[in-house]
Formats: sequence, C-alpha cells, structure tokens
Amino acid sequence: MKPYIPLGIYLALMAAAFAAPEYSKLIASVAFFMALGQAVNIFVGLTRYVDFGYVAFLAMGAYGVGVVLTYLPGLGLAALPVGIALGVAMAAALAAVVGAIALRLRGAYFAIATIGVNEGLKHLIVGANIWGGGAGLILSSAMFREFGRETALFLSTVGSTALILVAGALAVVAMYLIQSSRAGYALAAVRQDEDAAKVMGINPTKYKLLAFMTSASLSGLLGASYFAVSNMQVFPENVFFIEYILDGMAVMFLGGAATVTGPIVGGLIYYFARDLVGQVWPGAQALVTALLVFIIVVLLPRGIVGTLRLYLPPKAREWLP
Amino acid sequence: MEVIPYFLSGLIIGSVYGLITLGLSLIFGVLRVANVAHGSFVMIGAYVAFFGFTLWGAPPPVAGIGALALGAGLGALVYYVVVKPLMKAGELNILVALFALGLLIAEAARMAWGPDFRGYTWSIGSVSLGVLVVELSKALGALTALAIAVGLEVFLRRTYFGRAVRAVVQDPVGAQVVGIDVERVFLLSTAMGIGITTLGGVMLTLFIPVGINPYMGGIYTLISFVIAVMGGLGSIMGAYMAGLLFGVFQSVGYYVFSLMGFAQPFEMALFLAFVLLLLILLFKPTGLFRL
Amino acid sequence: MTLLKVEHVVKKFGGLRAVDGVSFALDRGEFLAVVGPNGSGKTTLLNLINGVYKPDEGRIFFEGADVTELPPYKRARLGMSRAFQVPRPFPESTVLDNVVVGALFNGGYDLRRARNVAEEALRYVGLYDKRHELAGRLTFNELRLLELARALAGNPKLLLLDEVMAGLTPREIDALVQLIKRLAEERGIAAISLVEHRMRAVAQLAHRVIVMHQGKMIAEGPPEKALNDPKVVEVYLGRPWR
Repeated sequence: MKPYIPLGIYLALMAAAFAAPEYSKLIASVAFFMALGQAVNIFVGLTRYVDFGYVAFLAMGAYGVGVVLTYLPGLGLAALPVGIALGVAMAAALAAVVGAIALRLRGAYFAIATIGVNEGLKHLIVGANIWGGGAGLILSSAMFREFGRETALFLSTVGSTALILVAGALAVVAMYLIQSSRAGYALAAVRQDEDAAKVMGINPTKYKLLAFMTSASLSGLLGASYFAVSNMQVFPENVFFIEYILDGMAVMFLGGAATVTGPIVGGLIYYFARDLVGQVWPGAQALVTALLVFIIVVLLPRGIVGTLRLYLPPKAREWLP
Repeated sequence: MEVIPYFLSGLIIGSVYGLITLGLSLIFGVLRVANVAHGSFVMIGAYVAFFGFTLWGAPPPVAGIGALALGAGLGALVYYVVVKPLMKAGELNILVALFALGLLIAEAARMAWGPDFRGYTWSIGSVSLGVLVVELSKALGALTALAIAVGLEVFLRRTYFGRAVRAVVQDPVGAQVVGIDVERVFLLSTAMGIGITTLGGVMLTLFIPVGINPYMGGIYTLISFVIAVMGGLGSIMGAYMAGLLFGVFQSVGYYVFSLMGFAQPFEMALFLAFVLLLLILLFKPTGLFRL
Repeated sequence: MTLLKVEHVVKKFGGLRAVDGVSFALDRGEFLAVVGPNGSGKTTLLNLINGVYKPDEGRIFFEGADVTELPPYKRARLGMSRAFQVPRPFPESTVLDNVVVGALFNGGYDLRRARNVAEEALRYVGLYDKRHELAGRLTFNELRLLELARALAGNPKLLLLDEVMAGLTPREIDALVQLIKRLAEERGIAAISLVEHRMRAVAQLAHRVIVMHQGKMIAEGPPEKALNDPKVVEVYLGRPWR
C-alpha cells in the first residue's frame, strides 16, 4: 500500500497550522478526531475487537505530561518530551497489562473486561486522591514557569496542533509498517477466522497485543497533546470522558475501519457534522453522534472509504489504503 | 463485631444488584450477546419510579409493574431493530451498536429530563434487627428481587417455554432441529431480560434517595457485568447469588476503606470491583458458582 | 526413503474403536488413497497423522522421528500440510494473500520469499490469473484449488487431503488428481487422500490404495489388487471394479 496520500494530507495540515496560527485551534480539533480515529483503527480495525475503556489511554498520556510538570519542577523545556514519553509509556504499560489478561478472551468477554478499565482507573485516581484526585491538575503556571511565557503559549496553540498531527502521521506510518509485515497478514487472518489462523501456526494473542499496544501508545501521545499541552489542564472528568471512544469509533466507521485514509475522511466529516449540530441543536452533539454511529454500524459497516475501495481496481486501491 | 450491620445491609442491596443482573445474564446466555447498554435500562426504570411517584403518587411496587411492561416492550424493540439485523454481521457491530444505543438513551434522557440529580423518598416505616435498623421499603425491594429470581429460575426449569430457552442456551442449532422456534425464544428472552432490568431499576431507587440522573446507567453496567461474570454468564441463580456477594463486598469494602482513611471509599470499592472482574475473567471465566 | 510410518495405531472414543490397529508406510512421492465409507475411520486416521488426535496405542514416525506426541502446529512445521474438506479461506483477503499466509506461517518463509512461493503455488494449481480476486468470490472448485495452493505454499513434504474430491465434476476431479500426481513426481511430495467409498474409481489413479472398514485395514496394495480383493468385494457387496 502507498501511504503517501494520507501522509501528504497531514503534512499539508501542519503547514497550514504554522502558516495561519489563528486557525491552529480549528485544525487541532479536526486533527484530533482524525488522529483518534486513526489510533483506534489500529486496534479495532485490525482485530475487530472493541475496547470500551479505550479513553484510559488518552488519559494516561495526559497524566504523563501533567505529572512531570506538577511533580518534577526544574526540567525546563525538557519537561515536554519527558512528560510525553512518560505518558506514552504509561499508556503502553496499561495496554500491556490489560491486553495480557484480556486479549486471550474472545470478543464479548474482552469488551466486558475493558468496560471497567476506564471507570476503574478513574475511580482509583479520584478515590485514592492521587495526581490531583478529583480536582485534577492545572498546568498553566507550571508551563509558564518551565517553558517561559512565549513558548508555553506557542506550544498550547500551534505546538500542540503540530503534535496532534504528528500523532496522526505516526499512526499512518504504524499502519503501513504493520500491514506490510507478517503482522499484517497474521492480523488479517485472525480477524477473519481466528480458529483457521491458529491451525496455520499463527499465535493470535501475540499479534492482537502488538496492535493493542501500538494503538494505545499513539493515543497516549494524542492525549498528552490535546489535553495537557493544548488545554493546559488535566481533569479526570475530561480525560476519562467515555464519549471519546464513541467519537473514535464514529470517525473510524464513518471513514472505513481497517483503512488508513478512512479516518481522515471520517474525521473531517465528523467534525463539521458536530459543528453543524452544535449550531442548529446545541447540546445534542452526543445524541447525534450516538445515533450516527448506530446507523453507520447497521447500514454502512464498511464506511465511505471502505465501500469506495471495493469498487476500485487493484492498482488504485493501493493509493487509497 | 462492628462489621455485621455492613454485612447485612450489603445483603439487602445485594439482592437488588442480583435482580438488576438477571436480565443481562439471561440475554447473554440465550443470545450470546453482551448487552453493553444494560445500565441505560436500569436508568429508565429509575425514572419510571421517580415520575410514577412524584406525578401520580404511585408507590414503587406499582411503578415496578409498569416498568416491567415498558421494559418488555423496549426489549422487543431492541431485538427487532438492533439484535436481529446484526446477529450475522459480527460481534463488533452488535457491541458497538448497543454501546451507541446506551449512550443515545442516556443523552435522550438528559435532553428530556435535564441533567440534575433527582430522588424521592417512600417511607413505610422500619424494623430493628438488633444491630441494624432496616427500612421496610428496602426490605421489600430485596424480597421482591429474591422472589423474581426464584420465579425466573422456576419458570426456566418447569415450564415448556423455560425448557425451550434452556435448550437454545445449550445448542441453538439442535434446538431448531427439534422444532423449537428459536427466533421466538430470542425475542421473548430479550423482552423478559430488559423487562426485569427495568423493574430492577425501580427497586434500585429505594436505595439511592437522590441518585437518579441520566448518566447513572454506566456504573450499573459495570457492576452488572462483574456480578454476571462472577455468577457465570447465563446462570440465573448464579447471578443472584453473585449479586448478594457483591453487595456484601461493596458494603464491607466501604467500611474497610473508610477505616483505612481513603477520602472516597465508595470509589475505591468500585475500583476493587473492577480488579475483581479482571481476576475472575483470567482465572475462572465460567464464574464462581456453577448453578 | 520412508517418509511416514504408522505403526499399529488405535483410537477409541468411549467404547468405539474408530481406528483399530492400522499400520502402513509411505515413501517420498507416493500417492496413497484411503478408501472407505463414512464411519470406516478414514478421517480419524488422518487426524491421528495430523496430530489433531493422539492415539491410544501405536506410534507415528515422520522422517524417522517419533512424532506421536507432537501437537498439530509442530507437525505442520515439520512438513505436514492439510487441506480441509470444507475450504476455509479468508474471504475478505485476495487469493494471493490467502496463500501468502500459508507460506509465511506454515512454511516459515520470510515476507519476500513468501510472496514468490505463493505465486508459484497459484501457478501450479492454475489460479494465478485470479490472484487479486477476493477469495470470497471464488467458485467451489476454485476454493478447493486455493486450499491446495495454500497447503502447497506451506512447503510440505506430506499433503493430507480430506475428501477434497467431493462436490467436483468428473473433469475437475481428473485435473486435481493429475495435479497431485505431478506434485508427487516433480517435487517428491507425498500425499494421502481420503476417498469416499462411492468414489473409489478415483483411487485407480493412486500409486497405492488402503481400504478401511470399521476401523480396520482390510486391503492394501496397488489399486487393481486392493479394490478387487475378495474381502473388499464381500464387505461392500459391489461388483468388482474394472
């Protein structure tokens, strides 16, 4: 497959963010949905398993940055990469733990097991009052102090937008690497017929875990960029907001699960649809999202790009992965 | 011992937790579908109780009957609109569709009734058990739950339809071969399951005087799944017993965590419930009870 | 050189002796047909060789080594490839990708070699032109060939074919049998093919035939001899084959 079109789009958006900073927040919002769909796709699209606790990975990313800025003063600008690295590592670690336990289970059991991850972690943080507990972490003063005012403001606008786009681009690269390796074939086999795959010598758990941890890490980066850096705050109610998995799945299904270009298309449409709803019928976004996901899953399960690809000749299919 | 009153009150609320879980277990057993929208029907039941009481002065037992009927109707609707069309499309589609449905219901509730927390009190006196004073309303709720659990179990074991259901649970294809209308079993099981869940929501309101709100479903979905897995997915009495166990666990856990100085012992108890779920899925996915 | 040696294997299911003391040897490049009606124990025998079942008595040797205790995926890596009676393709993947999976995980090739091996296998069975089609769109006969191509790509020394002739037209059967013989002669790949009793005419094309009845081997040898053996005739009450 040729990842150039999706990568090109992300690069173009990044250029736009730098060239026209007043639009960076808008681009960030659209890009967030694209990248979220992309990251979710790496797991849900490739394995056809669904993780309802997915938001926890975004939260881990956000807390990574939040924790470093709040509890490790004096790192200066290095606090950003360190925080992001910590956030990604925590997300990956969470995926490793949950995955090692739950990925052995079949579809419905796995979904059940993950329902609790999101809530469980949130209750732990709030209940044990760690990392700011229910009150969360406010990062603006720490960011001003460590980065300097100018840089902090830059980061929270254009910088975080760039980071979100990087997350999306990395997700495209990850998809590309996976699909063109043994893992891609293994995952295709596992999601179509897990028993036949086993008979052919494939170890399903190993590959599911790979997809899971990759997806989680990318979401960690995304959470770090979107919540911590961009909004300069980490509240449990925000970062553990279960809505986001629905958003991610909406984008993914709308565009086309297991495709790479799908989430980009899906993200665009989704953002503007939500915006429109917000103007016409404020407060009903979540309702419309849920309804939209419901309808797509029932009526157009392959999504827009997914359905389109079916009718393309093989060569063209390569360019719209 | 000071823990005894917590133990007893845990049993009482546990009974209702068991009731709430029955429908989930039944639907999973018969259709092999994990109803991740489960909690939203509990929420609907809660609102039925609330409006029944505040608008028409109907006491919860009466509201319960209404909720049962309403829930059964909703269940039939869910079956025809969601489950039946998607059963062939794969697990992912059903799970996502149900998840979306659950959120849809919650949002619709919020838009219709507002996000505020509601509640009511229905007091019919209390009785003293020595170490614990039990409100009769709660006792009634617990006993109703027990009655329904036992009733459902008897229904499944003694009646023709009940046996048909059990046949489908064991072997859907074989059941068809011997002439059982599997489709009807699916429909009625879904209707019954959701009906009982909604009724459970009514009984639940006796324990949460101010906790009724559109988003309350989420936590009960989680709790019900923990209980259902503990009791063995598909087992009715297993779900009920596990409900009792969970109630005790939550109550005693609350006591222990507050002794340990946690500021939010309720939240900690819930976190522990989730860990428990993971452990059970890992080591004994068929459940703790074999009933 | 003896590729496979089956020594007095017995498999019981409760009181039923599904396979009751069967022994034979198979050389490289030999095409063996196992004939018998349903219930004679053919599939159980295949499952024993494959490793899906473990024998209650007896031993199985592959290339001289005792493989009786090995699980199926290990036997696959040693060189046994199985094609199933009901093809199980990956319907959403292309024909080529289906075969590549076999090459990657059964045959243990790296990605680049796996693609070449897969293409070659497809050429061999005659599906090369359809390699970019989605497997879900193939005809039944083509799916059979795909199954075979996938088994081939797994770099087998021994092909285990479970009634792969069922449901094919006579011309298709002929082509398939010729293919198997080509593999035997050109690549030295041995094959054991289960043949349902009603299609025992197919067995004429094999190098050797084993006839099974109620778990026991009642005749063995070259096709004309085994199929016309008086015991076989007696059991099936059919006319002598010729």
